[in-house]
Formats: sequence, structure tokens, C-alpha cells
Amino acid sequence: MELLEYLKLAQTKDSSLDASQKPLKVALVTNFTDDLFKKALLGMCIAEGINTDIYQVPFKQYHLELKNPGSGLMKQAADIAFIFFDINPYISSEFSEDERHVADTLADIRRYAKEQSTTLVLHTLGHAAATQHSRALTDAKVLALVNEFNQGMRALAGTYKNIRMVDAAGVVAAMGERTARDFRGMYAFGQPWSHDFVFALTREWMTHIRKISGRVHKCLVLDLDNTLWGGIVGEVGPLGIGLGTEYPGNAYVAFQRVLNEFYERGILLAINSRNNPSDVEEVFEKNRNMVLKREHFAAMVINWESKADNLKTIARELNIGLDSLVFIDDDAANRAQVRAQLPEVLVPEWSLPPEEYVHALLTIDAFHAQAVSDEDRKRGEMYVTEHKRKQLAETMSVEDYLSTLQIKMTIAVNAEELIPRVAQLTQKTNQFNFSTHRSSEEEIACWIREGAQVYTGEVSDSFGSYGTTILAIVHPNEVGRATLTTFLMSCRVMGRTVEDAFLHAVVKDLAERGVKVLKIPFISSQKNAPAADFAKKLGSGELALSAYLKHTGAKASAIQVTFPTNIHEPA
Amino acid sequence: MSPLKRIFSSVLGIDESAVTPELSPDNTPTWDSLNAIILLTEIEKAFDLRFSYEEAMAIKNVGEVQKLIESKGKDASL
Repeated sequence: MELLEYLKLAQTKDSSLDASQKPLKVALVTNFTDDLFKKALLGMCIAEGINTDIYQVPFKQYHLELKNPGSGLMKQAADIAFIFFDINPYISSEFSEDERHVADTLADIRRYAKEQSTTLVLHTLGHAAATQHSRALTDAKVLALVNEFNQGMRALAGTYKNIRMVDAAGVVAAMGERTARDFRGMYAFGQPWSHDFVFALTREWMTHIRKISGRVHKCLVLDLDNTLWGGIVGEVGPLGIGLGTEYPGNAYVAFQRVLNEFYERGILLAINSRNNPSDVEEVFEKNRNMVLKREHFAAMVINWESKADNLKTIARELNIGLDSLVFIDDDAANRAQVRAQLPEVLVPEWSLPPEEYVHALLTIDAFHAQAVSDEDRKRGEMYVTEHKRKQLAETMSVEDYLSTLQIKMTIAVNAEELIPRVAQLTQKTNQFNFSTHRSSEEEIACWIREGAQVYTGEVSDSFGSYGTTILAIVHPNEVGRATLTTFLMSCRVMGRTVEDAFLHAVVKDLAERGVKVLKIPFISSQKNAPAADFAKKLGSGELALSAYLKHTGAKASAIQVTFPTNIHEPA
Repeated sequence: MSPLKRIFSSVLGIDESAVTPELSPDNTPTWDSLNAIILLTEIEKAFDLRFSYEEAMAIKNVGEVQKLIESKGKDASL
């Protein structure tokens, strides 16, 4: 299936296909807009009948959600979490702006692994040097950060049994960085990955989802003639088959070597062949180029029956389900028959020349979850000393962490130059938006002329500026009263208690202008649940300003607020 | 099925017959800003084209997508 087909499933079908099946709780923790990953993954789960409940950490809030024991992520107690941060040389991020952020994030992940039984799937990052033009960047800080992060993750994977690794860097390398990245997406939409990459990576994720749902492929069932060796043994004899140091025999030998590695990782091998059993016996006895011996095969069914029937026999003999079998056969008619009669069996395309066999085997979406985790545990052990030496920093509480961010806010009132941005904020903001009232530049300019107050806040912290991201529009009513017609905040700055500090400053300013009661209408929409939570905190739709200021005076002070810089009095 | 029908119906989760030149974000709840980006990228891939950011942002309905594709010398019939 293609990406589009999965997107269609995600868009049209309810994921709770089977109400009796408890949904698998999945979390996505990334530092970019990951909706396409979510949709692709959801579609793939629906296609395989896996009922899921997918939680996405809100945009730009991964560090807050990881630290806060009361966050949506921590409360979800996911069965499996995919944690994927993109550190790249193109665009600055928390990682590239603050050298402590790597150690800090690793410590967050460690705590997550320690305190929850969630299976955490971490991702290696592409080395920026994989890009051609990065030769100019060989000394750049970002390269060191990527290495440090990759090593730190491997150390964690070696220490905690609930951590798995996905070689995202390998996925990028396999398709090339230019194909994996979408630069327009990265700069314009916060989505740095191409659809090809999203598709490839979510397929990797599915192998982990299958594993945790108990749907692992356990056994590779192999045809013999023109699959395990070249030619037909019944015609050319045990020493005449293609297996050796020359083409095509060397390709079959290579294929057998990889099968042998699968065997060593605990994957069962079986034979399903239409042949005379004695011919096959002879191959095992006489052909010294056979990498695989009789003892490698957990089951051997060699007869002239149908391949589908034989697969059933193998499943019964090994006492495993048909859905844990992968069947490899070069004969298209056999594959079609098995697909038709036994849809549970995974049957990869195999009308290939032998030189393609190893690659095709390694790219079957079946065994890498198993292979990767075991491999990484081994590799992880090598890093344990490194890990001990470094002793990653212990994590802080979310309050302490927020105070290290040194959040600052500059508030402007009726700033003409910001009107286009104000209009844009009203158009684009959905989540933290009290009225979801969309306004044009002309309307806003008109309101200012008529005496409304447009408050805008520019937020910055130690990682840099987030721009003008919070907005309040207040219309005066009769004396002493006013209405907050628009109150919104971009999701870029959510989770930082910015809204408390902003509202406090706005109310203080209004009080100084003689307002005593502020009406705060809240209009709920499909998407503004985050604003609803805040509205609830404020109580009824009317705020008595002096009581509010008395109550919040101490609390709102963690953020340094600079207030009004350029008041334009109406003409 | 035409590539445009396939893409719009899949990404927006609607019937192929609903994909007409008049289809727009205003009459299609699932045509939100996130799906707009997915649509854009899938259309570019299917037609082997690249739209400028301004061209992409100016799109108001399927008819305009067709015009844009045709202006680049490709067949965009539904």
C-alpha cells in the first residue's frame, strides 16, 4: 500500500475497529509538526486491525511535557512512545542554541524510561556531514551535538530494557538527505521531512508496534530452487546448483549468510519446497557451499502438495500462528496462491534476480524491531562506561526548569506595525483562542481608531525569540467596564505560563485606565480545549479587576514583563 | 481515476465524486491547514512539479489547483 491509501484509512475509518480490543496507547514526542507521521501510523494500524490511541505532544512542548509529571504525556502512560528529535544544521532549535539541552533531554528520557514501563523508541540522528555542502561545516557545533545525542541515546538503550533504537540516520542515508528532507516544509510549516521519509520511518515504527502488540513474525519459510540456490536440483543435481564464488552462485551464498544471521538472532527458518526429499538430502550432504545446514531449519516440508497446505503444516508443527510466518518464493503463482488462501501470511514480492535477494530480505517489514533492539543492547554495553563517566544531569521540576528558561515578554499596545501580525494570529490560532474571532487588518485598524486596546506580547527565552505570540483585544463599554473580545496565544509558547503573566499585565494596565470589570466571553470550538481550561481557571465570564490583581499579584512574577513601549493614542 | 481525484479523496477522506472544481476549504471540514500541506506535497509529487510558496498559499479551491497545474503545461483534468 502507498502512503495515500493509509492517509485515506486514517481520514475515513474509526481506529476503534474492535471495541473489545483495548487500544494500544501510542505517544509521539518530537520537536517538529508530526501530524503526517500520526496520520500515516494511524492508517497503518487500521490496515492491520490494531486499535490505537495516539497522543501527540503539543508543538514545541516536548521538553515541558517530559519534565512535568502532570503533563498529558506522563498521564497517558503510553504503551509505546516514539521519541524523535531533529537536530539539523539548517534551522536553529533548542538543541543548537543551548549546549545543555542535549544532556538535559537525555536526562528527561532516562527518567521517562525509569519511571514508566512505556517502551521508548529512540531515533539516531543523521550526521549533518552526510550532506554534501556540509564540508563547510565540519567544525560546526551541530555535528558535535548530533554525535553526543546519538551516543547518549545508545548508552540509555544499553541501560534500560524498555528503550529501543530506530536507525533514523540509516533511513536518511538510504534515501539520501536531499530526498529525506523537505526544506520548504521545514522553513514554512515546521515539517522538516519529506513524505517519502515519513512513509519509510512509520513503516519502521510499525515493526515496533507489531512487536508490542504480540504480532511478531517468528519464522521465515523458504522455497529452495531459485530461492535458496540457483537452478532446479532435480535437473542439475546437488553439485550443479548455483551456489559458490561466481555469479549467480555468490548471490545465493550471500543470501544464505544473511539468513544465517537471522537464525542467530532467534528467527526460525523453515523449508517449503516441491521436490524429491532425497534430492534435498543430497544437497545438505554433498554441497559444501551450503551456508545453511539441516540443523538451521526448524521444520522442513518437502513434497508435491500445495504450498499453502504446507505452510499450515509448518505452523502446526512449530505451534505458531500463520500470521507469524513470512514466505519467500521466487514463483509468482505460488505466491499468489498463498496470498489468496492464507492472507495472514506475509508474502513479499520475490520476482527478482538473485543479486537483489539480500537487499529485499533486509527490507522486509518484519524482523528489524527484534534485530535492532538486541543489537543495540549489545552495542549499548560498550557505551556504558562512557555513560558512567558523563553522569547525565538529573532532571529538574518543571517550575525550576521554567525559571532557567528566563522567559521575557515585551508588551505593546496598539502598535500599528504589528497589525498584520495581529490579523494573522486571529486567522491562524485555533487552540488557545477564547473567541476564534477571525479579524482583518482593516477591522483591527478601525477598532484602534474607535478606542479599542490591542495588546500584543513578544515572548523570548534563553533559546531565542518566539515573536509576537500572544494577543488581547479589549473594547470599552460603558464607564468602568470593558470586554475582552479576543484573547489568544500561539501554540509555540504554550505550556510556559506566559498567559498568566500576560493577562496580569493587561489587567493591570486596564485598571490603571479606570476599568473595574472586564467581561471575558468564551466561545467553545472544536479545537479550543486548551483555552477552555484557562477560562475555567478565571471563573465566570466577568472579572473584577482589583480582586484578580490581588489574587494573582505574586504568582505572575516569574516572567520578566516589559510594558508598554509605544502607546498610540487615538487621533 | 485521475491523480487529482485520487489525492483529494484520499487525503480529505471524501468520495471521489465529491472532488469537483468547487471543492474548497470552506465547504470541506477536513481541508484544514495540515491537510492543505499534505495535498500540496502529494500533488507536486504526482505531477512532478514544484509550486512556489505564494502560488500554493493562494489556492482557494480545486479549480484553482487545476489552473495552476495547467499553467505549468500538465493535464489536470478530474
